[in-house]
Amino acid sequence: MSTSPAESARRSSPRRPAVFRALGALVGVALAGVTAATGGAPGFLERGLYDQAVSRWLPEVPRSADMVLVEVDDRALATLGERWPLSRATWARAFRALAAQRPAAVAVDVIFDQPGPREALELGEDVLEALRTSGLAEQPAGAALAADLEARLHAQDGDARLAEALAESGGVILGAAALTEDMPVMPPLEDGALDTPLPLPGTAPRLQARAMAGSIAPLRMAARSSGTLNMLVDGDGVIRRYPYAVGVGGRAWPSLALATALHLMPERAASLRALAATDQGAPLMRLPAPDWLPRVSLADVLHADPASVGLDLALRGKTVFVGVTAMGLHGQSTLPGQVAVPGVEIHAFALDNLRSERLLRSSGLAAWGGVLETAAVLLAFAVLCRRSRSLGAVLRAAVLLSLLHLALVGWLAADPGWVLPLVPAWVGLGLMLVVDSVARGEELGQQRSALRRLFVRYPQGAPETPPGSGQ
Amino acid sequence: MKRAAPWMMVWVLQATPALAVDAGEPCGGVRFESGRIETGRPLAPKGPETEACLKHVAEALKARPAIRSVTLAARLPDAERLDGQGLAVAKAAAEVLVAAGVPRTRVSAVAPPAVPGEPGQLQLAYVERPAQPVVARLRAASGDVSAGTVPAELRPRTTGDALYAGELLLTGKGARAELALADGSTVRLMEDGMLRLGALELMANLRRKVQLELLRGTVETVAAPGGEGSIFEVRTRGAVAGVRGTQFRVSAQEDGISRLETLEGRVGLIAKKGDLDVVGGYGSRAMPDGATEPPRPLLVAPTMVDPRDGTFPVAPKLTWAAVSGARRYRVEVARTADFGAGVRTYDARGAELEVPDLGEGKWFWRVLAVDADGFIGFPSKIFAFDVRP
Repeated sequence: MSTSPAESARRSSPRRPAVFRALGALVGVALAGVTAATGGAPGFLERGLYDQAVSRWLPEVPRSADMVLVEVDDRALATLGERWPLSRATWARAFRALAAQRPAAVAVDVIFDQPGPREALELGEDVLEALRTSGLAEQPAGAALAADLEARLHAQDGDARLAEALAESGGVILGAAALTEDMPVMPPLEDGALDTPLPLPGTAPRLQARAMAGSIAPLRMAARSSGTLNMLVDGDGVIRRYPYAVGVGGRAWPSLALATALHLMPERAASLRALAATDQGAPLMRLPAPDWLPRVSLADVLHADPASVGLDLALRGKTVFVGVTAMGLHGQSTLPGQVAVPGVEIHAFALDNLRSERLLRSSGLAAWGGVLETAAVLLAFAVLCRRSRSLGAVLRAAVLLSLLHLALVGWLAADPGWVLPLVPAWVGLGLMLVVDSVARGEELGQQRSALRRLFVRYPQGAPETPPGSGQ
Repeated sequence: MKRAAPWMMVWVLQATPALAVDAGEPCGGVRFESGRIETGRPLAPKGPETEACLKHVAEALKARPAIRSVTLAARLPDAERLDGQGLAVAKAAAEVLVAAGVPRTRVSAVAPPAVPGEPGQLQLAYVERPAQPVVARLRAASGDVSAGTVPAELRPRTTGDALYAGELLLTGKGARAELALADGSTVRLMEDGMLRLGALELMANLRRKVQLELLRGTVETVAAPGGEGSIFEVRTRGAVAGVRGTQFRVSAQEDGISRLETLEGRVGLIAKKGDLDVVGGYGSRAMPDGATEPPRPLLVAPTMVDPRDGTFPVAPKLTWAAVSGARRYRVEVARTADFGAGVRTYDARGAELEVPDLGEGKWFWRVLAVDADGFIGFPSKIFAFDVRP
């Protein structure tokens, strides 16, 4: 028994659109899968959309009432008459002045990785030694001179005075740097240890480094702790994630924000560490308004009367972030929707995100949930496609599912803080819609052809005009 | 000369960290590490033991002129820090250092808060000479090892000591020094050797520039992997060995001959009258007139016969299978399997050696065959034995 080509085409045609629809859906699910496998949303297709959403549509972080930025700004440099980097003696004065205002903690976006200059001190030591060797120091005038010189040398030792100021303050967290391959080399700590590593079992931080650099040992010893200042910069130069933990040689070290949070809230240490481990230690950040963090110039801290009420109101009991914002000296970090943000502000945002548990989660469960959600949307569309009788109905279903998907993704990001991939489902829906439109167009064409054939046949068999009807 | 080639790291030397520990010392050992002075026992805030330990630390500080200042921290529980008590404890401890001879201008005292739940203790940190970055640290040393900026002012050095750019490192007869360079490379200076530490620059993307000058003796180098454009050179009077691989030896002989043996990777030998690449398993030398010899295969590793294990009342006779082409053998006996410290080197004409005066305990041994021109072959496998009289 043989079948004509037209019949076989009719039999196979209902299957072909289903196959192509499935392929379209598969593209969408595969895109979501790739996003999940590469660390979670936003994928490279949806970064711009994510930046718009997170900077304009998601609710902003409320203005901070208990954080303040003490900035080394242009005015501070002009008032101090110093160039960057500031001398250790100035830093010592600054930390003493801050300690006088009793802040809750002082997080420093600076690394004192080299000792201060000691040439003058060594010259003074040589003079002192010569004074003693010559026997002049045994005479009253010589002894007074030696004592005076010794006292001056002691006062001029900037590193020692800074260590004293840090210890007196009691709550200073210093900056450190995880040495990744793309950053200028700093002298690494020989034992690689900042302080105590973070217990993050089973979690390999997203940011991995080969070594750790930090402030010189006396300063680390005098400070409360140290935290890394590294940022995770995406390929387009935008910082969307904050690395709360950095991996170096199988051990994890805290960032400045996490170290500060652990100092401020020791009773919540376990939960803070668990939160910081979100998204392999580098969750997406919720962003504040550009003027979110109140600022005080270091010039005011150093030169205002220590009994100043204004300074007391600005600093007492607050978490103080210290960093440089002077033109050309601070890092030009770009956040979604904000450019040239000083790095120190990003640490403050990150601390606020962490303590208020406002972190956005996009990898792990959220990422694979996103794959399932994408698959569910596309499956629902496939079912609706089969049931819809017209292209208009299919179009309406696609628009409805797109909006539902958008609403669900938006709600998950805004409320529980799960960032699911948005674009893969839209791509899948678009491809399936195109396939369905083409298939329905082909079917329409076939029906028209069949009708045309029918109409061609009908005139041949039509009844002839009755004879004599027109006569 | 620039050498820009991909780097390969095939073999990493395992070694014990730098320690200067003696359980008999008042502190139970003192270690200078990463700016911290670590004592073998936790240092109580005060007491005769603490005082004795601080005096010992003061002696160690005086022996290290590169250390420019010391900070002493008394970490005490909050109840013991009230009204300046913490600072008073720290200052009292600092006075012990000053009384023991550390200049007062170099000692400071602080009293930071203690870690909650931990008992009070003293901690010490130091700052080394700032102008010069540490180029290398002595990871292991056996025998007479000294260093200094000029040959007339060399001072004995021990494990853990820092070395700076431009310093000379000298090993005496039967001595050996292993350096951990700041770029992660390892350099071993064999007996009767003199090495000047030249420039060591570390740049972004793992790019680095390391220049060593071998004035006398032999160095064995394991170069760490470096980024594109990295330079690692060992210069002798007559030649330059530029690293393109990982493991090699360079020797500067008294007669002006510079000898290169490449164990792994590829090394460029540059001399006045030409240069050539010497791949792994081959050796070459630059003659005093600047000409280079064609590469020659290195002798294979000797097969060890006896002892491969076991305990002996006296040092056993060491035997191995003869290697074709070997004129003599270099036998190394050491206390550690990495042959980093306490190494004794002997020459043997035949394939056996009676080792004199080996003390009690575990010993590791290996043999290297040496050809008629002094080229040293691959090292044998390492075996161990115990001496228990």
